[in-house]
Amino acid sequence: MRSSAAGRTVLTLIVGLATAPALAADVVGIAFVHGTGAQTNATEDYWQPAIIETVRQGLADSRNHVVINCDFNQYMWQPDAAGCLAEQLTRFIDGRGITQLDVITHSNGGNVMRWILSNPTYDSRYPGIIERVRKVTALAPSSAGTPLADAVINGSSFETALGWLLGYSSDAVRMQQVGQMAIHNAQSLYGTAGRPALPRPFQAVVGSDVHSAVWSPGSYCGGYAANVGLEFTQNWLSTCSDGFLDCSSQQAAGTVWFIDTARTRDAEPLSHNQSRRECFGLGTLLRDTLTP
Amino acid sequence: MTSSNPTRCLAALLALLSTAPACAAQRWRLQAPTVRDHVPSALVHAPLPVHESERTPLAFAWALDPARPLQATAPPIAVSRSYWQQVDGGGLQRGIELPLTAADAVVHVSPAPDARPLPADALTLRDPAGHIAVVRRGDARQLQDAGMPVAGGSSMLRTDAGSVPGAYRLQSTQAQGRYVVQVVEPRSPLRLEVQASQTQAFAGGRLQVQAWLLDDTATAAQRAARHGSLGGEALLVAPDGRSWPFALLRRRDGRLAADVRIPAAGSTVQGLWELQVFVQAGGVLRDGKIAFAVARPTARFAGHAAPDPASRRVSLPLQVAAAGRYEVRGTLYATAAVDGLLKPVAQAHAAAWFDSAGRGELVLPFNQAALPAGFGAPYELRDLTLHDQSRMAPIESRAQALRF
Repeated sequence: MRSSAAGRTVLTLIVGLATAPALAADVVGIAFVHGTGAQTNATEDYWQPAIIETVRQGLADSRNHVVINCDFNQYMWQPDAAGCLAEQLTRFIDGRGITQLDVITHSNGGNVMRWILSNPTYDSRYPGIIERVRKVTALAPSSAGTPLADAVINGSSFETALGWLLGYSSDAVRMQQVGQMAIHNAQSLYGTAGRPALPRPFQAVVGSDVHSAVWSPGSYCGGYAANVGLEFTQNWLSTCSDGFLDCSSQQAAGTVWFIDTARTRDAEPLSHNQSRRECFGLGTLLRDTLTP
Repeated sequence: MTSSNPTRCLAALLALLSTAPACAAQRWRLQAPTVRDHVPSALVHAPLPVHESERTPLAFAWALDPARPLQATAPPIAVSRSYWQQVDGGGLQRGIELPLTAADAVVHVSPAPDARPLPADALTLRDPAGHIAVVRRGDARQLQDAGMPVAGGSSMLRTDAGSVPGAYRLQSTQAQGRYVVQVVEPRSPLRLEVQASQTQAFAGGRLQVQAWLLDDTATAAQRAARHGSLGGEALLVAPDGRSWPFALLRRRDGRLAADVRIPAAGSTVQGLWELQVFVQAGGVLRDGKIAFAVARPTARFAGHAAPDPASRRVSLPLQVAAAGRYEVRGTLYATAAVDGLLKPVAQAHAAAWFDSAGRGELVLPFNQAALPAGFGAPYELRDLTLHDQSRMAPIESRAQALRF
């Protein structure tokens, strides 16, 4: 058998808790990491170009951005999820010479990124990514899961002849059940209360409500139908939610950068759909974090 | 805590008092495990999963803020204000009884793949007095627009804020096939809490689960009635979908409990196991579920370590019974000069591939994280865990492993 050889071990130095400010020679880049789902054109299908255009204007070289397209229907650690994310981030970092990487995630994308930050020895690409991450801005992260995932899974018992009674929900949905995320947070992820901090800052933007009144212009940002749907799904959630996630889940890991109404234009709440769209000045708020 | 005992070098004992490197990196016994720790008593062989693991040895460390205390993670308590049941089309055509305990309840109906989809307006829900009780209806499209991946043909109903508790009746004359009917009562005072004895178990091992119903608003008579009729069952569900029923036994204190044995074969499908709990009492229903990890004990710590107080590197010998990639992680606590208290200062991981059964070693490189000013020896290694990265399961965990 071959035991580990310290001399061959790849050691990576991460020193200090604070994020180093960008120096003049630094090349700052941004990565947009989508949420649950398999994406092939996340710019159009997940984010929409407007928010990406706004944010990248904060870069010295606006070409230094990448929009990730992976299969986040898988468990976060799977090759098509975190492995795909690591591959695309590494290619971006190497290809553009990025020395300071800001990662913007939405929803379950925060969990996949947190998997990489929490498990630096799982994959040889992870340490190089962590070294370059300046911060992760997690838009509405599902850090503690969502009761909606439980509601979808409940009752879907396995029957040998038929498979799952309600059809198989994706592994990502299973993982985001509240009870499953509690175990992942306790065993394989960092950054939640009482657990060691992540090696890089992870700051959440929290969506606290959904507006879908027909007379309110704010109800139409990001798509009226989605906001109507989120008003329905709010019925499963606590009084503070973005229609998909309780505020407590969004705040469960890292630090809270802000709760939507504290900084958005006209103090509008960000529904779970709006927190990935150019709504109520969100893009500008994200853009302004790129300047040290 | 007491210090670990050196097993070979008496001089190592002096390292508690001095950082002199004369006996640095000598072998020290890990602290005896406590009941909170999870330690395999024997090892087993297991086949490798089909997908590849990383082969490069890796080690990594980062500094922690000593002002932020860490806490041991207790098994989480699942809280449920919901229940679900499978019904057939004939039952729904005749009408099924749904006990509700609060206003603003959500009723969610999902068809099995062979069942007829039921639009929300094809469902009627009547309160105990026979009046229509629905204030809001939604269909699958609206829920899917919100990102909720419900089955096609699903519908939801919500009762209004003034609806009264009691036995409601759900009916659809169009029902055909099988359905799952789920009730969520966010405003109900009645809740089920479920907790397991641990968050990880070994295949072939055991796990205890407790469940109890709580209702802060119940009268003494309601409590007595519920206690007298309290009952339930549990279902252990593997990641591959296989399931095993277990009886929940009622204890004198009003709790339900089960002693759950995990099948020795475990599961070759990655993911967490679940224990689903179904409880009824005094005409009310609640379901809850908890998750936990199950591992086959394919490796373990050899029981000793070689810490070097000067460099803060800790070598951890392993006994390995099955080829795979194994990872060690732990938290270093250092002593603050100002008050003599131990505080967390660094987190370290190390992982490597092991080709076959035998002995191996992983080294936690705490020296790679700068020590905060004013901190030094003696050190403690806490929250030491061993993970099987190939099979994605935590094997061993020790809350307090070593003092050096």
